[in-house]
Amino acid sequence: MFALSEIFVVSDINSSLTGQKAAHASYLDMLSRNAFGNYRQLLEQVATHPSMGHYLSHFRNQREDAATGRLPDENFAREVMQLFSIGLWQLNPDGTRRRDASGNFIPTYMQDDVAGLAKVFTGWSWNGPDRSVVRWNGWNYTQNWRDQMQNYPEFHSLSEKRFLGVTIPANTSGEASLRIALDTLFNHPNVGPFFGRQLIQRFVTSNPSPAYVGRVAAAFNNNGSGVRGDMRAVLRAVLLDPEARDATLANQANWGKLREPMVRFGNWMRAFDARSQSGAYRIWNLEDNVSSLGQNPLRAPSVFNWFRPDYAPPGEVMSRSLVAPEFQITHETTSTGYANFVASTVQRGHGWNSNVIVANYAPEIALASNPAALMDRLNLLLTAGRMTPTTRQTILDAVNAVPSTQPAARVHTAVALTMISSDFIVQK
Amino acid sequence: MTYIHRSLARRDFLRRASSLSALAGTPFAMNLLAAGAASAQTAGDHKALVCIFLAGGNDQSNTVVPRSGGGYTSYQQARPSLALPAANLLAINPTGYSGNPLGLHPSLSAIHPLFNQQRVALMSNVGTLAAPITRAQWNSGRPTVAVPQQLFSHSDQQGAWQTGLPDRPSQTGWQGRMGDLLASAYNPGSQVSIAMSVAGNNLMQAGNTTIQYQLTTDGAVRVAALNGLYGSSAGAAAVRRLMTENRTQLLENELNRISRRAIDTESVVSGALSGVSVGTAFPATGLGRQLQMVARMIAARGALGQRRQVFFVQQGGYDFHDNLLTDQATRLRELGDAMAAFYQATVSLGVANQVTTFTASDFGRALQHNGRGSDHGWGGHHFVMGGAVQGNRVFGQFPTVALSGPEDAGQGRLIPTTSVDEYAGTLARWLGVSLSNLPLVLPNIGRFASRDLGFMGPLT
Repeated sequence: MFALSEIFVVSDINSSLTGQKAAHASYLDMLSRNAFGNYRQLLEQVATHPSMGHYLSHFRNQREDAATGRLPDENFAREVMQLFSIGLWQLNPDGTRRRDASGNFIPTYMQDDVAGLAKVFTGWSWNGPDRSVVRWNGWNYTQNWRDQMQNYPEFHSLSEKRFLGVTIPANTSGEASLRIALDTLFNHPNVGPFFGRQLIQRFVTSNPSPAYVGRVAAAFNNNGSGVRGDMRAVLRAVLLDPEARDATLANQANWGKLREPMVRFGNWMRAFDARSQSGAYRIWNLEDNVSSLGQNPLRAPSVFNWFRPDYAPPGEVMSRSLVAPEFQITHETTSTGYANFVASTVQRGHGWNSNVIVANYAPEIALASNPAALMDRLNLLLTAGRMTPTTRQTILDAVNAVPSTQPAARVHTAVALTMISSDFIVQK
Repeated sequence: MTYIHRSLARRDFLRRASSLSALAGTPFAMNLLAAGAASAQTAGDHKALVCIFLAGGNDQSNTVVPRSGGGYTSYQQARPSLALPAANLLAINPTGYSGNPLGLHPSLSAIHPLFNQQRVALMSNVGTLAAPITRAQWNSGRPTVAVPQQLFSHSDQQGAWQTGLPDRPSQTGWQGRMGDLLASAYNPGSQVSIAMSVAGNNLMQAGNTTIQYQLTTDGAVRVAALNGLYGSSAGAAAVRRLMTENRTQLLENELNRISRRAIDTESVVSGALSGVSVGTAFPATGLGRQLQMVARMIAARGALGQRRQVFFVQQGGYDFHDNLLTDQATRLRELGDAMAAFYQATVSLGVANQVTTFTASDFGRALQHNGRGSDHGWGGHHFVMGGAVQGNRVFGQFPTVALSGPEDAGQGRLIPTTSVDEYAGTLARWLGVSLSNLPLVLPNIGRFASRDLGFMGPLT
């Protein structure tokens, strides 16, 4: 669900969703419901969710009007292609870019396709038992963040809609137009490699081989039973691919991915069963980059997420033609801000008063008199058994410097140092 | 965004450099030294260039508007639901401009007087171009003239503005390449990069040798645990080692390279900043705080050992598909107020003539409306501000604000009449890039007419 939220991005920042808690909760619920369903259904639920409608402004988007020169808003039509389904460039099944006869890359769509598709995303507004203008406008408490948007024929474009080589005839309803449009995107050969590569990057490694992408795309195209878009099959292909399970590969210098800051925090909570005493998880803004993570769920700067799939930091990664998306938000201020966040959170927890989220270190404190065993446990919980001997020794030296009469301090030291180490931050 | 393998970009850079060197008959490195030596002689010489990036694509049609007559009428007809009332526009009367009378968006009231006082100039209809192109050429179906890749896409056009290479992938930006040329000549021995950002990693400041330095709005971040992890000096030593040691794993090594740079630079920057104060009050906005930080780094230039400084700040929220009237009013208010405060800060620091600020954005927007806002466009208008700027003037060709005008690429998307290359080139020349080195910064500059648009006055 979290990975999907970084592909099908909505955000509280610079958006009409600012402060709309019900909208965000409903959107995440929707992603969860669809995470193991079918991509086609996921795409439709994303497209018709009122949060996405607000964020990419096709909510209450109206058909063209010659009298005033008004055209449909093109925002969602563009980004659903560029970011959520087919991407900018035609792809081979293994995710590499196709070339035309002159050797040039081939754009997936042009401006005319955007304008044509934009007509499909007109006439969508609040769900409810009627299609009145009152409900269209959300007056009189008719706002409904929980249910998918519905189409209001009065505001839907009934002219011919042309995009990606498809023509939807004039006078086609909003629902039927949406079905044709999403079927067209869903069946585009780009989706498997485009979407599959991003899932690999979120879960496994920043630089999958074309063959790996190809295998995931094949699973997208056919789950083995002739079904296209089966998310279970896609995720299985991502996680169980030989390339993902091969320890030899994982030992190579360029394997893996940088754990993004929010995930590091989540890993800490999960590893140490961190809980809020009150039961309320009031995790405030984590964007501050002096003492926090420089990243926050549902607050990406734009629909382009916190980082792009093809970002490469200048230096060795770039010179080797590799990418490392999470490095886009990794720099002087976030690398040091994170260290401050870890030192504070590991010891004191996160939050305030009765809502403070604190770790249960009881199993670790039981090992505090045996630092080697403590490190074995942290190696299992945080670094998947892959902590390097030098890091282990560095941390052991620091733990041994804490008197054994202070078991909690030993544990805090060991956990904080492990989480600051690049062994943890880079997932292999 | 599209990126190229860095070594390709570098190879390209070196190839161009060596071809230029061949022309000049001197090795590339000698050229660099000569470039530095020629322009770095004046004692006390200091210049700073500040980019304010308006992320999302500012709507130029409501930023600078024909305020009367037929110009206003055709503007109003093209976007009836978005047109600003003529009476609300802030009138400008630029020197030497004889087109439709113009006005600024009412939210720009803070820089309006600076415009009139010749501290701000307007760069009109500037945008990404692979080569000059006319409307007829654009309309010929498949243009015979090369155009930027992926026009109208946020990520690609942000990239094109920042790399200055709209027709091919690039991993470096024009400020970064400028830094490559100027850093060693002007800032020898400085421990802080010539390219500084208060807005996170950006492509504009990525160079072949230049690595941008990131600041928060509070300055550099100290790792508190380096003074003791839970009171333990052994813990502090472990923190330092874990964050800074060389690693064999590629990503781990890259991460530690960044952390090492952060830790090493922090004390230098914090030390330099502790010795300066900027008295000017800045707005308590994101952009205000970023520009305040820039002013402090300019004030600290001596301690930083920097005679050339290149800054990047960013203001988000310019993607005005809907709520254009309210959202743009808010954004431009924040922009104008922060810019005016920053200008006053440079005056009070005595560096107003040495600091030039300019705006950039993903693209302009379509003139035609969608009811609540405008969609992605191409050319747009930008502001250049500073004591050295030829203010109260309009540069480039102010476009016809009407559908199907001579610059209309469809729906009132403006075909730019000035390229980013020319805009950036003028700024680069002012900062100290020589005419002969300009193609190293802007490899496509030779395709365009101008190396100097004139808004920085006579360039040597």
